[in-house]
Amino acid sequence: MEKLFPKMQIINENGEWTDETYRSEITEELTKELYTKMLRARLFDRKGVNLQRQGRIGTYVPFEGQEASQIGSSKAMGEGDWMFPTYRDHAATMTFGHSLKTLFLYWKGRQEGCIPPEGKNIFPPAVPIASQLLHATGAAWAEKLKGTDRASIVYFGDGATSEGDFHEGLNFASVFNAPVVFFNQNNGFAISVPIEKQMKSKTIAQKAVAYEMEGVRLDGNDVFAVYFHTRTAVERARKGEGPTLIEAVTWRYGAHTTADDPSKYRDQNESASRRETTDPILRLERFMKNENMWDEKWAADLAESITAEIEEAVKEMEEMPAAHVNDMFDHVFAENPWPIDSQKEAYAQSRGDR
Amino acid sequence: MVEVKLHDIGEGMHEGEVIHFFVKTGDTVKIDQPLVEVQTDKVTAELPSPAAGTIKDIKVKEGDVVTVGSVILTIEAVSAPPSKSKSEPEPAQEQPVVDRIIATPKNTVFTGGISTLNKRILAAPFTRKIARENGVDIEKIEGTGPGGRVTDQDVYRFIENGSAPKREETPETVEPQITTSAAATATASKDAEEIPFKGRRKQIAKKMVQSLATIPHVTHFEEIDVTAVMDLKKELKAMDPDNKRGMNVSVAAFFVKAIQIALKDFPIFNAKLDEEKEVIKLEKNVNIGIATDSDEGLIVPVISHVEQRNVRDIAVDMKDKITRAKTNKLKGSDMTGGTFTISNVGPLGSIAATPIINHPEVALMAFHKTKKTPVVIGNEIVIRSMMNVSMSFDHRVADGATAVMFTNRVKELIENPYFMTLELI
Amino acid sequence: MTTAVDTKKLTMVQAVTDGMRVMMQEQENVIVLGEDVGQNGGVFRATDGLVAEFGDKRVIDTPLAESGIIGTSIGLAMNGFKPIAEMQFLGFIYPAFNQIMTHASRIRARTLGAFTVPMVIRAPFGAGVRAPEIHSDSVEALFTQMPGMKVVVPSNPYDAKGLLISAIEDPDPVLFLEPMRCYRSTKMDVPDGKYNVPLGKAARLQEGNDVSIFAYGAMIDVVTKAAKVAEEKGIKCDVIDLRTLYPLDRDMIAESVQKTGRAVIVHEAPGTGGLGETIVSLINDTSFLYMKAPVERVTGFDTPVPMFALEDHYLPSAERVVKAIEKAAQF
Repeated sequence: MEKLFPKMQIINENGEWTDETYRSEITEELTKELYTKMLRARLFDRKGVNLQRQGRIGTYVPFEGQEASQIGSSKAMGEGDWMFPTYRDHAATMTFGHSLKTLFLYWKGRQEGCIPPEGKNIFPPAVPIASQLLHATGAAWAEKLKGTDRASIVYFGDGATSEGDFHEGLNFASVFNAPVVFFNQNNGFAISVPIEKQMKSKTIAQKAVAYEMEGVRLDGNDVFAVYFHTRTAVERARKGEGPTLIEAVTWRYGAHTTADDPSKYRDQNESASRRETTDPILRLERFMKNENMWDEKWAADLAESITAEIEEAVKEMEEMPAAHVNDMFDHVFAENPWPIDSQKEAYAQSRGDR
Repeated sequence: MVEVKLHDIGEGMHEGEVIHFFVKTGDTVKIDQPLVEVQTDKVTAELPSPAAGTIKDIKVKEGDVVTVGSVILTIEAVSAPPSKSKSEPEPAQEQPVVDRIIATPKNTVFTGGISTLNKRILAAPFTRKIARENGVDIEKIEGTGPGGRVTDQDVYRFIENGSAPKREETPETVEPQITTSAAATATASKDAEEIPFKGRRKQIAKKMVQSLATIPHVTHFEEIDVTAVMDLKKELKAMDPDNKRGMNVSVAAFFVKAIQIALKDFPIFNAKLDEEKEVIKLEKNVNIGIATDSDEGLIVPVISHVEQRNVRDIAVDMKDKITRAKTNKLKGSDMTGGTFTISNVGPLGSIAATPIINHPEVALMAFHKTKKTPVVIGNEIVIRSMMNVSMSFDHRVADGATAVMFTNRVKELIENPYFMTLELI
Repeated sequence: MTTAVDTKKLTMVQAVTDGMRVMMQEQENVIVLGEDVGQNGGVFRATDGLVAEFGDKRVIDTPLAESGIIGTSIGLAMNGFKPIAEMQFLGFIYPAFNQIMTHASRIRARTLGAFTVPMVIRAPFGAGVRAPEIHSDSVEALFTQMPGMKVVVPSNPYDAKGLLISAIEDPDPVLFLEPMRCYRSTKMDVPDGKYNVPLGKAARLQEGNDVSIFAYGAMIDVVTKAAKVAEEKGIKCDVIDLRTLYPLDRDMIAESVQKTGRAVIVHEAPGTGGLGETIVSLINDTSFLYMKAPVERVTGFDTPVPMFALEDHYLPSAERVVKAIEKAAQF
């Protein structure tokens, strides 16, 4: 199966070409854009962990190490397309349009963190595992019924493939030929459970065969491979050629969440050594150096301006007026039914309000 | 100065052990630079600096177990993070919501606990409501329902027996409490406004029906010259215009006194007929009920022991009770024990009536409108203030002649108020 | 103002079909999906003829996967469609529970209204038709406690069509429960075309001053019979068909019970955690001082719905309801 579904790659860990199919498209401009987006995501992620440790936000879910998978794939999506993230996919959603402030608000426990910018079809993070595959299928199916060429991309992890909704999602998309890209980030662990305990299948991509759909296995830390192969899948979807299951093999360096300690279930040295070898940002830096695109000052200025942007977002997040309790009551239905109104009123009275 | 605290970094942690400090006092630190490593039950974590500056004071040692919320070290911030003013996390503004939830249950219902109750009265909520609205203490009612439960009928019976005060009862309170237009339309027809027939109105009705059904009523009329008693009242008032000496008494107080004096001579009208025992019980005390009109209908406060009280006393008591009757402030004891009832409808008008006796009493006298009338005295026509009275009595107990004699005695006393001085005790 | 409207004698299941047809004719974005809803017209024939009229792009046979049906309906609903998803039986809804609980019912709340899920989940339910195991469950209370869901149960053809149309027009997810016992039990004049029976409004089926009866769905037939027997015994019942279980018609419940001071609640779902308990609380909150007797509940038992050899024991009967009425009246 691993032979049937080889890990597609464009540049290797040393930043060297392994597949030159897209060479003409890989310009300095594209490279720098992808590098910028990945660095922005990484610095945001580290800030998220720090804010949690400082008690300024709640539990945070880090994605460091998965930047190439999320940014390469989200860059392949176009205006009007749909994105269905999990709680670990803020690199994808910030690339697709979420503001950093909104993302921080989500982790600060604010409902506003679920709201996409006007015109951006970004669903709130799915917390129940794999349930979002069906939403992506449904939304894509709706686009097909409407006769547009829009597509959905849905993110999920290796553990999600064990859920019934994974299979139902793939099957429905396959049956109805829905324009969906099922983008799996195989980071090797579902919290603490390694993939060997999750499945006997050697790859996740091979599961596409059962649903008569295209399956693609990628080096998820090669941003070019992710971008171009996802783009191909999206193009196929737009043309009505059906869904694709993409498996992007990657690695999360950190914990499952800030409330988790990965040293309890895996050797931390592996993450440390991977930072030196397979890291997606380092790999792109090496590539840029190889291709004479690298400029130390540019990189330093970039880090500085991104840091400033992030600090500004933190400031905006912290300066948000306190959440209003009415937000809890007033959006359950289009119009509050009497039980909610009377509970709202009784609660307000108990607080001595109004 | 920025305080670096241990926060709950692991979803429900309460404490953590300080493993290692990456900094010492006097060190310069940048934003997000690791300061200290802390181990909790769930995670081992580095706490990054929330601000750039100099480490001022390290408050704990490696190996210390610190609780969530305690300060680990302080930083003299040179350049605070953009959110400097909020470097104290958990914005206070969001906290009160939770505090108040915790603080809410202060007015719990059963503060006393069940053990403080002497006995538990069994009664349905609706029955209790009837009792409450009539000012009846349900604990005083003997239940006749299943398991000793107090029934609606028990409460009504208790009220009828005169041993219950008649208190606040408004038609509004028996309307459904839920505002529902459907409810309103359901009880109203198109051509007539409907007033609920319940509460006090219904009790009055019951009493009247009971009285008329059991007592063969006879009413006879008399007219009384009240000029003298009114003059007397005016004189007394003139002598004590500010009522400092309690001389400003009502004419009605004299009527009450006159009735009481007359009853002494005709005790048959200060009595109760007990048909079961086949006795007419002559009451020793003269307790005169004052039929009073209030917004919610007829109510009868009682002036008790009139035989022991002077006119001033009676006047004060009457005034007080009538006022309280009109404002629904009578107590149960204010309305019990009547032996004879007067109905002073004069101020409202009317020249005659056939009043219904306040069962189980024997008689009732109504005082009508006073009006200046040309009257022949001797051979002269003079203007006098004349008032009609209507005297209803139980013909089972007394006969017409006795009633006429009683009325004449009352008339005599009122027309010649100084006669009453003879009755001073 | 009345305009002459033609009516047809329809069973409840036909009225349901008619409701869907009317809305599909009116709104292009109304689609029907579920297991066997297309060519087969649904196992109860509730979608009979729809695929012929509207085509298989709007009347969709899905794979046999309840979570898949609801999950994709969520995607369709928040992307412009109004899916009417059929669960073959309410007892088969459990695989979709996660989708309904964690997504359909709360997406509006999660996004403060940025995303909404206007969809209808139709499900036949209830015992009494000698169906196989699991087919007869009455688990409406699982959904009345689900914030963000409305739950509707018609008891007759007229209400079924009018309520279904209101459910389809509702901007939020509605669980529309169809009592199987009522599907073909009676025919009734049902107006052609579109009309609404509003959600959240109960109906008074019989006026009485002695005891209030609250029921819904297939239990309406049972309580109507019981009320007739009670009347022969001199007890006049105020019979209320709740029709919507969330939100309940508080005003009518309170008004009725404030008039009678006595109530009997009847449902075939298990007693513990059932709607009856919710109604008791509602009476407690609104009408405590009017109560002359404890509220009686006649419900299914806290047991799985038995196989049909015993289902008549499980289901509230008119006899049980009459006893409860008498108990309340004579308290």
